[in-house]
Amino acid sequence: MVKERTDDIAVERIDEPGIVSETAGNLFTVALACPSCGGTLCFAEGSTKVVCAHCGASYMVVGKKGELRYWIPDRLTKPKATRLVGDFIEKIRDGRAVHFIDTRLVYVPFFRVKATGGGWYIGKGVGIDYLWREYGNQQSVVIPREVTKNIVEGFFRSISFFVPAVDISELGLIGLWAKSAALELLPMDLDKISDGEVCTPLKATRAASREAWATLVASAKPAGLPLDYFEAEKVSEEISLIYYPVWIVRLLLDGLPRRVVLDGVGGDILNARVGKRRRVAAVPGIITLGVIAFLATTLPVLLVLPAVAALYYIVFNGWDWFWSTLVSFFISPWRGEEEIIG
Amino acid sequence: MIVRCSQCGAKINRKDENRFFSCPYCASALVLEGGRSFACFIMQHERNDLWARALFHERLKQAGVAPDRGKVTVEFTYIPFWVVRRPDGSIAAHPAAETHHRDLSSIKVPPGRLIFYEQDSRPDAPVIALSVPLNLAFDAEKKEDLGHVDLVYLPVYFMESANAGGQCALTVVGDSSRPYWGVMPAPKRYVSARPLAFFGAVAALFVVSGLLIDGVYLRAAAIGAGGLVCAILSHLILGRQRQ
Repeated sequence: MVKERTDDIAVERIDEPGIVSETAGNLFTVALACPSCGGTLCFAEGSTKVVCAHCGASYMVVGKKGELRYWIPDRLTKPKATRLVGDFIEKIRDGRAVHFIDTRLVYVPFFRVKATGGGWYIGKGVGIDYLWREYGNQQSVVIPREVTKNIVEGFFRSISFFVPAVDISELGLIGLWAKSAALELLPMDLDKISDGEVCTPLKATRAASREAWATLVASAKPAGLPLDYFEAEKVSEEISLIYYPVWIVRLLLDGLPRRVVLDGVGGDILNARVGKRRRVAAVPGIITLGVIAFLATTLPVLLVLPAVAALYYIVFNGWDWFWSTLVSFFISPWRGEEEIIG
Repeated sequence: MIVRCSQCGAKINRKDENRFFSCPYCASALVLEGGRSFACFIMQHERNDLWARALFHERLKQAGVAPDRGKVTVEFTYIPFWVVRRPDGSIAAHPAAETHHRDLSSIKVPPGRLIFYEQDSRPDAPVIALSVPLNLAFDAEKKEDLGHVDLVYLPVYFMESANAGGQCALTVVGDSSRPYWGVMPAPKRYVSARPLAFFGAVAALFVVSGLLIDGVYLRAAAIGAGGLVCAILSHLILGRQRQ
């Protein structure tokens, strides 16, 4: 029944586990065999060299097909990650009860696009022209003046562009990839990742490539120069996926859910939104009461003004709005009291 | 997903999309090649009602509703979504099943591990069956504009409470800490006894001072000094409110 409604995409019985494999019939496997002895070669995706375990021949892995995948090993342990977060919470918990829910290691995928491009542009720019003027008494002076010039420039540049392959807005990992540029990357081998959850990349590889190219082109264009012509060509592009380890610690602080994200390499706290205890801002209320009391005991007729104002708001905005505003004015928490990192 | 080993012909059950693997029977190193129209995944998730209830409790608190966690009902289920990875980099998810729950059309897929949905990966929790085909889910868009499409079963918590002055509901996807959807009664401002007593006493103090002290300047100075003392006292008396 479902098949009839889905046209060309075969989704019949796809909700039944085990049936999905039938839809993937166009997938096939290719054996990685040693060109010399025919023995099985075992190496992880992203490796650049491989030695045959059977005949000892060394090979270099070439080709750009697919995206290379790397991972950065986690350098913390679960107890250490929990302890680091515990120490952080201890500083700000302010007597509140802390209950740890769980501590998980997650490998977050980032695209790294190494793009190289070149091109040229023609534009009109304002330049400085120098005028040399000599006087009869053997003195001379240089006079600078602004002139409009035709500018023709070429460029050739490479960038390493990092973009998260999943939605990391909740985890607050912006800027994390800059660290990975300085770290050793290991070819991805799921067998070696015994602990932790490896997130599946959701973003399309083509989208990462397009964003990288747009960034390269934008960086090549001169700022503030009106261009008559611009041309850029892609010279090379290498896309790889880097899995970065982060620890996610979930806890309850006075019964409220809080999550702390920890760098799995350096142990820094990358993201935490832990509210401090609220303090009551009573000063505005006290000042208001003081002014009203002063008016009431000095010149009671002036009380008509706040009374009229209150009446106006009650009539036009309603009692609920008035009461809510009054309460929030008298008893409101100090702002900026949240401990936010990331 | 079952693929066939090119060396020994054995059927190999693949759990995820990793291209490099070895045959469990003949130990040959293999690479997965070829394309596919789409695959069916399920997001790995460990159910945690404590976290979901805490999110609900927090949202109630933000709405000014007195929480009563004992009466919160938590429904946990896996719902299929058509997940589209568009070439422009955006990711859209649309429910692939009709449910009695509220709007799920603009759900965000949280980070997580997607594994092929097969017999051995079937979760213990209830799974809603696929009932909305792709062309109906993305009615306005042409298929060629959609990009890469997958069917993903996402873990969703539905929480409800009807005890706190109106219907309260919250929907949370997986481990997310941001509720996807929620309905709360209109916030009601209430003043607890301590601030009410404090401000009442301050008002009385000011009025009594104003009535007893003659002279405008002296009265103003007395009320100002009283205000300063009250501001300091407010930190001690009102102190820290529980978050």
